[in-house]
Amino acid sequence: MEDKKNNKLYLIGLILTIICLVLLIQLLKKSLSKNEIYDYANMESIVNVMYKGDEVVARATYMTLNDIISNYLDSYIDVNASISDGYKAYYDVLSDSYKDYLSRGQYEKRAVAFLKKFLVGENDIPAMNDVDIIKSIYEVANNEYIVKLDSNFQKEVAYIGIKLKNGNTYEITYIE
Amino acid sequence: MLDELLTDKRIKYAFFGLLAIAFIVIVYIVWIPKNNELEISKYTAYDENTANEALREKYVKTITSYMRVGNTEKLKELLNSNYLVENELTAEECINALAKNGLLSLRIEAINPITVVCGNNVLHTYIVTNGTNREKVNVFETYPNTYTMFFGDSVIYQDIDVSGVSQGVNFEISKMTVKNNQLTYEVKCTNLSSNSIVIDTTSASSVVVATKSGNVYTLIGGINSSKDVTLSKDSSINMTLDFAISMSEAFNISKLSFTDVYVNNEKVLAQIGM
Repeated sequence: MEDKKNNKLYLIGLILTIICLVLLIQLLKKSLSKNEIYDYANMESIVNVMYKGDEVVARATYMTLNDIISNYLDSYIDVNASISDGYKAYYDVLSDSYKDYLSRGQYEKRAVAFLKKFLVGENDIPAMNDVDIIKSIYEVANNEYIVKLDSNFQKEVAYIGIKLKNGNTYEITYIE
Repeated sequence: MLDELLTDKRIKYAFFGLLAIAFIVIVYIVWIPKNNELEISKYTAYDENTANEALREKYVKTITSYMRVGNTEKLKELLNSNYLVENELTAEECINALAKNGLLSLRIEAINPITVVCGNNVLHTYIVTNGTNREKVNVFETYPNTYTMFFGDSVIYQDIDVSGVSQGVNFEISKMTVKNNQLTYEVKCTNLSSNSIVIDTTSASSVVVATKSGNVYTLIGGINSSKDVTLSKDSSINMTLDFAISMSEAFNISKLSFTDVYVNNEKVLAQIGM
């Protein structure tokens, strides 16, 4: 009887310790991976962050970012030339800090607003204008860039933040 | 009693064992970046060569497609304005010359592409031919997808606006011309002081340019203006300064120095940053 009671106590202790561990490790990860460049909650304008960086003219960086951006824009249109939800998968490509700030639903809303800036099409066949849209690139931290893009609408400027990581992977740090 | 202790110990071992396993599993789940597994999070990295090559291919494709279908309006838009001015040509005359040589034709091919990096700019050259006639095309790119084109020798004319005051002299550089192994600056020197100033350019080393990487180049031939020049207050002189320097180096100049300047007969060094 006493043994059974002890076992239960150990089990409850184990579960509680595991829960505490999960919370503790997640907290530790968040604090360690906190992006110091963007304070998303208090950010008034991406321009302030952007102009603190150096303008990049290196063609290699331009072409690398150009390919990444083109692929992202193209995720909005499928092979049958219809609007696609391929962009939704890019939530997993957001940086951890950006994911902490944006829920999946918020990201999807924001992504659609961003992607629509490049939507063109004749006779109701949608297409993405992803040709020569990079206006300027700023390096805001090591291998971390904000790209200013030309949208279809003159008054609407678009921005995307991209961080190039080791192993030829990248994460999206910002879209507007 | 012993049995009870043993049972307790086993539970304790099991507890700490499970805890250790849980810790490892949690760290793995929380810490391992999940998006590394995603295909969409991968990218192909370019280096400067592959990037320039890709951009050059794009420009060549665009320009030859205009030439093949005879899209003269688009070709005129791409013409380098400094090239037209320096060669006293109109865009119309330039395009007509292409048409006359049969170079606005479906048979146009681009061959022998070469790329030279010129500081923040890139010059791509190639030959267009219809099988019989040929013309050298130069594409001068100031930023990816921002470029102009011109024909014939690779001579880049650029209006620049660099000025600086040193030793009481205002040096203004208004234009640079870069061709194979030669850089030319048009410089206006104005004496802003009340001193009598002599600017001597009679020797090759009397004016030198230095690149960002520290390479130094002297004047070609030594004498490029009217020997030594005496400037009184507010008087000025225009100089044409030629330097033997490669095209890629010409766009990396960071300093222009006049080594033989005399202020009230005292030799001084006058230099401006570029």
